[in-house]
Amino acid sequence: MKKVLFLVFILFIIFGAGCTKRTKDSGLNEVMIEDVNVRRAISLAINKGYYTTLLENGSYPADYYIPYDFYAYNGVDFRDAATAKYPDLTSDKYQMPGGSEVTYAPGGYNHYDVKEAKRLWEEAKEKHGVGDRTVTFKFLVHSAESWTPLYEHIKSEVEKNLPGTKIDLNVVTFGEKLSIQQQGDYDIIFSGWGPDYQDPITFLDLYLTNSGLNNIGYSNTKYDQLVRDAKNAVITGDARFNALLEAEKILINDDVVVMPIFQSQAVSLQNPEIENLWGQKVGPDYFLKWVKSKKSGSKTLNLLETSNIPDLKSWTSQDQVSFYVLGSINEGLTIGHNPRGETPYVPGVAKSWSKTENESGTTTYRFQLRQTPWITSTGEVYKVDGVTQYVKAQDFAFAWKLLGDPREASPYQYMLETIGLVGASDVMALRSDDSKENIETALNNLGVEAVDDFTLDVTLEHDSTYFLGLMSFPSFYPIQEAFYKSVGTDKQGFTNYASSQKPQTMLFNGPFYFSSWKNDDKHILTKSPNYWDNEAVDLQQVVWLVKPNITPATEVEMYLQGQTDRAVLRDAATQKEHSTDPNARVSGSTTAWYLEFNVNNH
Amino acid sequence: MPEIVNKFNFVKNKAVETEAISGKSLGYWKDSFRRLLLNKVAFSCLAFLLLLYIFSWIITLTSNTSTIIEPQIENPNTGAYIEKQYLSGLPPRIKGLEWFSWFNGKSTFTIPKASLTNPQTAYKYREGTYEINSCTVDARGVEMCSITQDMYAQNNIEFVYFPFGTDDGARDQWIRTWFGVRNSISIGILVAIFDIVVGTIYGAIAGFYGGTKIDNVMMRFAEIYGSIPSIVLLILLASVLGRGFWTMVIAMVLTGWINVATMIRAQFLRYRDHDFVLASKTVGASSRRLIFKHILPNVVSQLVILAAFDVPSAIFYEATLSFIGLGLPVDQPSLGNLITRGITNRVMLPYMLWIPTIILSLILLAINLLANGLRDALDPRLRGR
Amino acid sequence: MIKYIWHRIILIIISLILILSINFFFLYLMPGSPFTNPKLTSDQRERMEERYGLNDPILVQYGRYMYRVTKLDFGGTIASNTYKDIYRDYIRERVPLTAQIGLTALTIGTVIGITLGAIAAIKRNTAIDNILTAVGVLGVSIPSFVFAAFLQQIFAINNQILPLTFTRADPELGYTLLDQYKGLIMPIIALSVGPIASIMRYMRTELVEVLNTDYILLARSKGLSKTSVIIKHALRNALIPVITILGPMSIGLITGTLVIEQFFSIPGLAMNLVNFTQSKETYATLGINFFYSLMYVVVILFVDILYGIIDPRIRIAKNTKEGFILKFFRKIAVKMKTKFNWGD
Repeated sequence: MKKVLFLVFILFIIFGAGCTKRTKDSGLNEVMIEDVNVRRAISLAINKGYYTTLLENGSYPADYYIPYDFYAYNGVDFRDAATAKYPDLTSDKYQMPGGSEVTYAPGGYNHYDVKEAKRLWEEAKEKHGVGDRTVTFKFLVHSAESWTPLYEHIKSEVEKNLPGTKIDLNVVTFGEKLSIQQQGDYDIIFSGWGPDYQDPITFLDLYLTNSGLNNIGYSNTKYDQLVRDAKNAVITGDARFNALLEAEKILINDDVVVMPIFQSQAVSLQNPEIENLWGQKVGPDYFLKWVKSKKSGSKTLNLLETSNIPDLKSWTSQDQVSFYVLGSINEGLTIGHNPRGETPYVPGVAKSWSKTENESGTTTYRFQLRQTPWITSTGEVYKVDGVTQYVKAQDFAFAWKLLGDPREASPYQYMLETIGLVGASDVMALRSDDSKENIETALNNLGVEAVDDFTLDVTLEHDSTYFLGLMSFPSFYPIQEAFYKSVGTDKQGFTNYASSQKPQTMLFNGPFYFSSWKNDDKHILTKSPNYWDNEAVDLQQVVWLVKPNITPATEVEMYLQGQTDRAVLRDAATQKEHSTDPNARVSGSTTAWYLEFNVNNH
Repeated sequence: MPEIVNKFNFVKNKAVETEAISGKSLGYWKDSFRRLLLNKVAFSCLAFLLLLYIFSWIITLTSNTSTIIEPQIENPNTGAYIEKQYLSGLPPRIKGLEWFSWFNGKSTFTIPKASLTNPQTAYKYREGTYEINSCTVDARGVEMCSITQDMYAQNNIEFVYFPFGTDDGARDQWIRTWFGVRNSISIGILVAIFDIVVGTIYGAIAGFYGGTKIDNVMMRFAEIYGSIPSIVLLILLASVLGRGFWTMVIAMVLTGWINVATMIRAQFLRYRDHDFVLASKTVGASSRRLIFKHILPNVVSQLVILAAFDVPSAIFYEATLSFIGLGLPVDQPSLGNLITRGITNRVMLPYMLWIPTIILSLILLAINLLANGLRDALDPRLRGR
Repeated sequence: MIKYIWHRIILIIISLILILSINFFFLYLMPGSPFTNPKLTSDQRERMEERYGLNDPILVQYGRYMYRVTKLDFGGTIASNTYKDIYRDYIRERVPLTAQIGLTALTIGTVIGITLGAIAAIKRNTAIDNILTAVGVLGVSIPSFVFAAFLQQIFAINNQILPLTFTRADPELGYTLLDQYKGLIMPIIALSVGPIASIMRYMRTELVEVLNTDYILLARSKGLSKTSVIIKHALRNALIPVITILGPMSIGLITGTLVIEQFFSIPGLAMNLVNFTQSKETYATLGINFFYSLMYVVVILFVDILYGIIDPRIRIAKNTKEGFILKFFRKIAVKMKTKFNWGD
């Protein structure tokens, strides 16, 4: 017995030694981070230009939250408008690298200023009686090999410029980061946000008091008021635009809860024989319908994907990998086109549409659908009892109800509210354990209605500039109800529609159909012979090689050896080597990367 | 006959002398140590490792250069600190060794030829700081040139010397490498010690009671426990304790002791029924006395050898874990971390890969050779061969 | 013997149940949830958890999972809305490939390792021995990922002899079966370096010891040639302890595969295991763990049976009826025993 106790004792010692490491002293960091001047000091202490210079992928250092080249009102970019409205706060700019042709990143708030940062920091230290103690801030980031230099840069800048600080860098996986974020065990967190639709609300929405994404516990009545009014179209036109400008200023300059770092761009090498691969700002990254191949003899586009497809159910799908595929195998009422051209979107399934203002203040869009058949995974027209099934208005209504159904737990359920669909707020208020009748009633009251097989009425609480563009967003794609019901459900009560690796459990109405879905191997799309706009589709086949965990250097090498037509330069090393390649393309992405401060630390 | 007697002298009876022990008698440990000293390779490896480890502690404790913040160097011309961007990615440069191409502060890398004239990038290739070695057209029809550039001249900091260069984050690789050496060797040693302690206790108990229920339960437990992949244990532990040096050590010990325990148990089974143990038992020695005083000393040599082979495998394992992103946190350099970083940058900043790799390989090589030497010196089966 | 094996198989089943249980409770204790998507509302998150019964008490979940295992349903990934069965979507296609690479690497490692080890032992204390020992030590001194990077640079980038990454054959797209196998060459080489080095070292030690035993001296003094003594007597005898380390070594290859999977894009389970554990996909992790455990206990069973045949102290139930194959094995074992004087 003694020996067993001894064994336990030894194990205890070993564990004890490990556990003591993690314990940290006091809540000093929490008190400090809730002081706006501390947050401002941190904001001012980091030279953002250094990192983007290191990256060499065309990313800008950002002192602003709403990205540049994202939203313009009356032809004035949001950033220029902000600079014009608050000239005293936003005068400084970063000089972009480059010798003869000096360019600047757009201006913003809290520009890098070490002297001011030090002053604010010393003041705050005195105010809180910090003395000689070291303040340790918990900095939560997700692991991504190519971003390690950024995390280290932030850590070193803060520790160097604000004496007496220590940044406890906690690198975890993306999933772990989100779960720690929900628990609130951090002071500073690195986050990014890519817009869902082309309006600043998609960014500002995050920090509303009760927003599910507002994990930092930020709450400001003025801010809430401004954003809510703009979102619900209580104010319109100039007033709305000004409200958006002011809301951003409150967030970044007055309260300093968000500290922007940079606006990311992705640079990729692209086969010069491939044309019209237009990067989209919202929704799927690319619509392959438009792509033209000038390769001699081959109309196959070879692409590389570093992840398997998580979810191809258009109403619950929410990630870029799935969207990329969905955008080409299915089609919404509209389809994204060249975002830099005159037509950011063009008609898709909808042939034409008309808009009427109702007496109650709502707006109704009436879409006329064209006759385009559903296609199976063998490329044939889908028939029931010998009758060809066309994409009908009912299919849209059915899909949108699925999107709203709380039992489906769709992450993009809020898109119904975003477009301002009538009845969306009632649907959002539903809980999955509500009675079946309640749910059915609320869903049936949604403002989407099939007038006849090829006429769809969509009634909105308020019209918006982004509504028609959003109709190309995968959440709004149609689903064939009869087929959906015919595939049945599995043990857990899930639908078998779009089961993993089984394209035969799906129907397609896009320019391509999904002919082969093999995880970790290949995804193959084949040109659909029965698509309505067949002549416009140039590619015969799209092949994605799926290589999870591939290193950035290997990806580039595969491109150089001709195995793929496109390679994203994913880390600083490959960017340095190839970013000046004549075939390199900068994406024009509008994803913002920033730090959030945990202002409501509990 | 008398003549014969006179002719042949009796050889002096040397029986006593020949059987006398000439030279001092040597104990087991003394003898082993002597053997180790005689093995020049093993001994020089031991000396090398000790020096390296002590040196790493001295350097890391005395240096005031940070492993996180870029070195703060004053520019004598302007009096200001050199900005971070000019200190990033500098190759090794040692005063007096500039004639040697590895330490002359010049980088050789390949870029598209257009970079030299592109207004966005041309400022990085100032006239006179680089020379073009050769140009080729790659498979996509882009002209790529291999150029050799004096990075120190390009950044106007020719008065600075970094013996191991700086990394892509502008930190001094010299100090980071020594931190890495310190951390890696420490992990190896600690893991080996804990493995031996835990494994010995467990294996000794199981072996001593060999064949009984206690043994059976203990070995089945070890078997089941050993089947949980160590990576899963590491991730579980990291999610509870957070990533760090001690998490790493504990996680390795959690699975590492099983091998030691199995080996010790086998040895105990062997010695348990020997006469000296039985004799001791009959005069009433307690189990603890039997285990620790009688059997364990016989196994010590095996333990030393096991430990010696355990150190390099722990270092190696840490390096592999770093590569898949489960190693020490990024702000705590280990050789594995440094090499992983080096692999990412191997094309543009190759010295970031080869310096830590050579050092790691040397350490592993030295420990392995030392372990071989120890085995030759300690293992009774291999003695004298 | 049959009774012994039955006994062991029952033990294995009990072990597997225990392993699964320990794994289950271990993973259950881990903080966090797989549903971390920030876009999900708390209600939606609850709904997802309810769907998979994650809200139930731990014992209910445990019971349900064990029941599912009896029906050969080992779990799956649940974080995204598309459920991916761990067997159908991961194990079924990857295990054959992983096994192919692992077994080939192990075979190559064993054959080359034993050959080199034998040469080193026979020629011990010569230049050849020293060179081989140095190579062996170097083999375990260079990190496998550096070695993999080096291989890739030389054979796939500088000289494009071998494909950069592994791609399954698909003749319609121009990926031939030859390419598929070419893609396996570098991973197998990178993976077999470790086994070669350690088996070589082990083999050398064992053979040196065997060569100094009395029965080898006896065989030599009987007038047998050196070659025949080494091949017929010493080698076979030295092999037994070497073979026993193959079991643990095959498990140790998991770590090696992690690196190889990354470098050569091999669809394998090791990286999935890491990802699933990190993203708290409890059931998927359990499923993969189960297969690893199965492999592990089966290897241990084989080693034990081998011991049972060879070692008279462990052999049980001498007089029970034996099957043909076991009888055959027994005969060999007895023969070997009398020949080589095993035992104590």
